[in-house]
Amino acid sequence: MRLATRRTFAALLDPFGVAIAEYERERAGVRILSPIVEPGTNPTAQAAAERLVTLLQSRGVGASPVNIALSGFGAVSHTMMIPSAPPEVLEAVVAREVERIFGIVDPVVAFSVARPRERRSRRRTADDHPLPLRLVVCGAPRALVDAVTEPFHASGLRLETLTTLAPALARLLGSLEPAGSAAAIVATAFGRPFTAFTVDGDLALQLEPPHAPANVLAALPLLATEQVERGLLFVRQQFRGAAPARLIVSGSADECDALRQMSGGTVSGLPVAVHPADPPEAAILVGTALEAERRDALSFVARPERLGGRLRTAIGVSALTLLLPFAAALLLMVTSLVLAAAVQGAQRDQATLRQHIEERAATLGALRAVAARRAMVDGERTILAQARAEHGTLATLLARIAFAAPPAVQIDSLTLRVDPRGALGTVTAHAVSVSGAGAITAIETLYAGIRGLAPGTTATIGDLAWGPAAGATDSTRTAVAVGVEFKVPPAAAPVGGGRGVPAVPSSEVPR
Amino acid sequence: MSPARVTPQRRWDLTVLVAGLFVLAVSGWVVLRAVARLSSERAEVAQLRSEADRLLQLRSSFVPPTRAESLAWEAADVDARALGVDPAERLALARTIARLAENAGLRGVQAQFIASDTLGVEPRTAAAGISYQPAAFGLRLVARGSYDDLQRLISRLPPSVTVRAMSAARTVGPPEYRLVLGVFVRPEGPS
Repeated sequence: MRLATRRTFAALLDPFGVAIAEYERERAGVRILSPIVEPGTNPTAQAAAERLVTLLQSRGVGASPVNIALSGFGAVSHTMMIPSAPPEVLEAVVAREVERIFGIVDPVVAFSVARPRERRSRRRTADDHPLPLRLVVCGAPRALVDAVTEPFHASGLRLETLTTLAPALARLLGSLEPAGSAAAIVATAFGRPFTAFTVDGDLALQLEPPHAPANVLAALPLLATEQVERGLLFVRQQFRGAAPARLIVSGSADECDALRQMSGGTVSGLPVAVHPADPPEAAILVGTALEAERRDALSFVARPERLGGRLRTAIGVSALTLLLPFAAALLLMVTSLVLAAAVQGAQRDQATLRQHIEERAATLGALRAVAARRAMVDGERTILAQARAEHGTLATLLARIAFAAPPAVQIDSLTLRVDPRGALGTVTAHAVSVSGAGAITAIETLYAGIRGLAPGTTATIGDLAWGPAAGATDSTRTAVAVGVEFKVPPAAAPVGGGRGVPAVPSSEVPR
Repeated sequence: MSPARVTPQRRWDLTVLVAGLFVLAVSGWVVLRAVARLSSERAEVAQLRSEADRLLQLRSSFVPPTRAESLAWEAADVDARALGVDPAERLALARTIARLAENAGLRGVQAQFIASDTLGVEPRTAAAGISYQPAAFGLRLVARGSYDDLQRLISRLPPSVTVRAMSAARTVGPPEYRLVLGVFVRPEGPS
């Protein structure tokens, strides 16, 4: 499955030829497309690089990334054990060791820390020294690196990774051999065998043939056998007897057959598993591509960062963290400006509304005068109606008192006093009859009439005073005088003053 | 971390971080103040809008007085003059009452001014702050006549007086009536 559309190349630079292939990333690894192999002696690494650049340009390759594995030219691969050290000093230590071991002045190094491998039988305590570091190291003279990179810079091609053959073989072996303790591979390029051993997935040893063209070297099976035997001895000694279960042989079909037929299908006692490749250098190109696809690929040149990484580098993660409060503050300031604009808008609204209120209130003076006039007229009408009702009530009360007296009763006097408690009155009267009972009946009628003056009226009758009727011509007529005090409640009395009830409902007053 | 590990770069980072947090805090405070200010300003706008709407409604609901209403006001003014008297016009009031009594049929009419402090007259009040206060004087009226004449007089009394007490006594001839009247004064100012 094709995962990306950009073109990516893997290349091998060897003193005896160059090989290149475009590859595609797949979910399970990479797939080589139309590899090109050009055998031929390359006197210098720069000549090989220029040859490769020419090859790419002739096929119209522009700025596509190119990943190169170097074989020979002074580039070395090595595994080393060093005491535990902080990461920041490791590069200096490794460079010094490469300079010391290989005699390379001003080396460029690339290294990775392999999985720690405990060689002691007893458990390591906190007081013991920490496990030593096992490093996989690639080194090359700086002049070599410059010689390879210069043609790429001059042509505008992108050299993404530049490594040695060892990491490429380790990746190739990792993709072919199931996970195990130790594994071995012999891969051929330009007719020369290259052998690599891995332990726990990390490179343990890589062996190259002597610097001579294939035709002057011993037969390839013999060279390979010698490399395998040396490697087996090294791995067994350095990794507590570790040994691969079989030997992967990758090369042309003829090369694979030649190696498989040695000693009846074994090489140094290892069963041979052939992995034919066409051309044989394609297997190494696959390993180069696999190594290049790793984020921590061993490379002598810095991998050009992608846009996100370049931005992160340019700004800095810590700078982003530091800028965060300022960004939030900027956001708040913008919010403040928006709020300030809203406040100004509200103040403008207030000014407009105040102007409207003033304009409307200016016309209210006349309205208020009319309203006050109407209220005053209402009040005066109310009081007028109240006064008239008061006088009418008193006249009605007087008429009812007169009506309360039957014909046999004559009212002699009447006093009435009006106050807020009601009307308090006293009536004195006398009745004349031929019988005492008749006279009392008349008085009783008067009394009942007074009590019925208005609802709630109370009356008190005084003692009866008997005597002869004034002006009587016979002795049978008799007279009785009596005084009756009464009280008419305020609701029915002509009580003056107080708060008037509107005579006419305000709603009916013409407005 | 020991102080010796604080590198100049780290010190600079800390300074920038503290400055950023300070700016952030100030900005937050400004935003909070702005929010509070906006809230109060909007509340003020709402209040002013309500007041403006109320005035608008008041003006739109106002009905100007018609000609008939103006005439009714003039009539009410005339009526209102009878609701109270000017203390300086008490003789005129006594004359009016005496004439009303005689017109009602009563005879031997006598009017007399009395102090009003024992009459217990309460002011007449109505809405819009209208109030007619009792005068410092009252009026005592003595007359003779029929009971009907008395009732007629009482029903014709002007609204500026109130009957506080009365008595009727049968004597030789027509009964004698005594009326005690409380008087209301006209409020000062235009009525």
